Amino acid sequence: MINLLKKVKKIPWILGQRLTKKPRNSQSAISDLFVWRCNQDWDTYFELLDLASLFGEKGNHQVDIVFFDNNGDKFHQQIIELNGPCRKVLDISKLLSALSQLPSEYGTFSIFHKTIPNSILKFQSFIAERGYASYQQKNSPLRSYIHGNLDAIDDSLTPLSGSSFFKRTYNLQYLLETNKDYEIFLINANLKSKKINFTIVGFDNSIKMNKNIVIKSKQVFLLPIKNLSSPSRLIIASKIVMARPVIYSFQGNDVNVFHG
Amino acid sequence: MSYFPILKAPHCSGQTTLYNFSPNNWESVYKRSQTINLSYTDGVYWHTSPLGELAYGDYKVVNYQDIKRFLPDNALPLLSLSHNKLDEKSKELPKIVCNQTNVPDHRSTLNLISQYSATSYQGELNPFPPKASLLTFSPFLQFDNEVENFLLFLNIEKKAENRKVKVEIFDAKTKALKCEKSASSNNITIISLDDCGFSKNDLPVVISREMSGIPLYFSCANQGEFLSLEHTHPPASLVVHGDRFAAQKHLKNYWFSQLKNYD
Repeated sequence: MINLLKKVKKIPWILGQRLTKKPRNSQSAISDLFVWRCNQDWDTYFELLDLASLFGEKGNHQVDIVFFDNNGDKFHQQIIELNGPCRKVLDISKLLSALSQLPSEYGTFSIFHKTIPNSILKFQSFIAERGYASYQQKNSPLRSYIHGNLDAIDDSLTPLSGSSFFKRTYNLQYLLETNKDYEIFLINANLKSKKINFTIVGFDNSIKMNKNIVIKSKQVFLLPIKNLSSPSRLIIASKIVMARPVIYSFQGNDVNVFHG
Repeated sequence: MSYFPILKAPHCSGQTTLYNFSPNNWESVYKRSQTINLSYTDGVYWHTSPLGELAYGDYKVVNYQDIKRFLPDNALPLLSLSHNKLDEKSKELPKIVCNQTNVPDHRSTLNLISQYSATSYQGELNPFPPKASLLTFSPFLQFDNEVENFLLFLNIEKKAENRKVKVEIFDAKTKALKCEKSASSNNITIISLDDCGFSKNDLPVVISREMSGIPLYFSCANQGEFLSLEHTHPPASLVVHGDRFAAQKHLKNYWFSQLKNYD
């Protein structure tokens, strides 16, 4: 009975509010919107796998990589050849530094696989690039990896995230510590702009920060967090179904990158 | 029914941060204090003891050093939050009545901490079925000087035994077996990847035909000055919508038939 009541109470939060919408074209490819960072301090890489070859498709395959600036506007697109079931580390910073001028120091990119394996079509699924980006500070010998998380956008560049009827909170289950700095990236993979409220609350219930913003479709927003006076947590309120951020945590010379 | 392990890795100590608040405002949860439990297996029975209470809205940091005196050497410490009292000794992993959410899952922060740095991921661990397998493509090896690379194979199952299984690591292109290791159920098995002979353009394929788990990849430089930790996706994550698990089955069948079993 209790379980039935719980299910009934959830209906207004789930009916017609899918996390990821289906693309209109049944042969679309889907990608996350991965964060790129490129300046004197940062390099960005991507582990480009030939997904079609992993499904056993023979022949030469390609991906289409599309770059967006920090406002969500597309500024570059190119085709990249794949090498079959090998490792190919795409140096995103090198690729971007070949352009005459970058519109911003960070933004997002998507990768669309151009060969859709027959087995995926047979299962009425869509090929999805949710692979592995990595970030390296210039003085570090290691890259810090983060896996893709959202099925954010299709190859017509239509955002696929669903919208909520009601305001939801994403209560980040992560301890923000006083001796560390953080950078929080939030991407709007909805068709429309979204109002976002960021609140940082101390575990003593003190409000450390309260910030309201509007993020356009495909835009990425950067929230820096510094000099916290007590252990705290982050709450993101919006009509995004799951406003899961990417978090960069800095300690000494090292950086730790992960999803909320 | 999620557990939260305390990880281990070379040059590091594990630390897990538990949270007694919901990750969202719309999936119903129990807004009261919960018991923090520590469970481990001795290979025959699961043993569980309460570590204390966690008030609603609060967090608790648990270090390996804090609890190692309660454990046999090399046992995997599993933390949990529960509304119910768990059996002190059981043949099967205790069933936890706890706050369960799906969008997102209720998580903890699983940290590895060296004397210089820290790395983490947001995770939880649910028991895997005993008849399961693992296939994962692993492009995380880093090759600079003073860099070490490890696979941390994390598994729990309901039964308390520590069964040993073979982990085979192949080169995806040549399908050559590069190395063969063993892993244990109900544990975190540390597997060095530096002696497998991979080069920068090789894509390692890690398979276990008899056990599933979470494949974590851990790299460290200068004996812990720099750390990196991430897990790979299960093959179902290469597709979205439709019958994702049929796609996963297709991939597993394809790769398991391609990668020769050397038994």
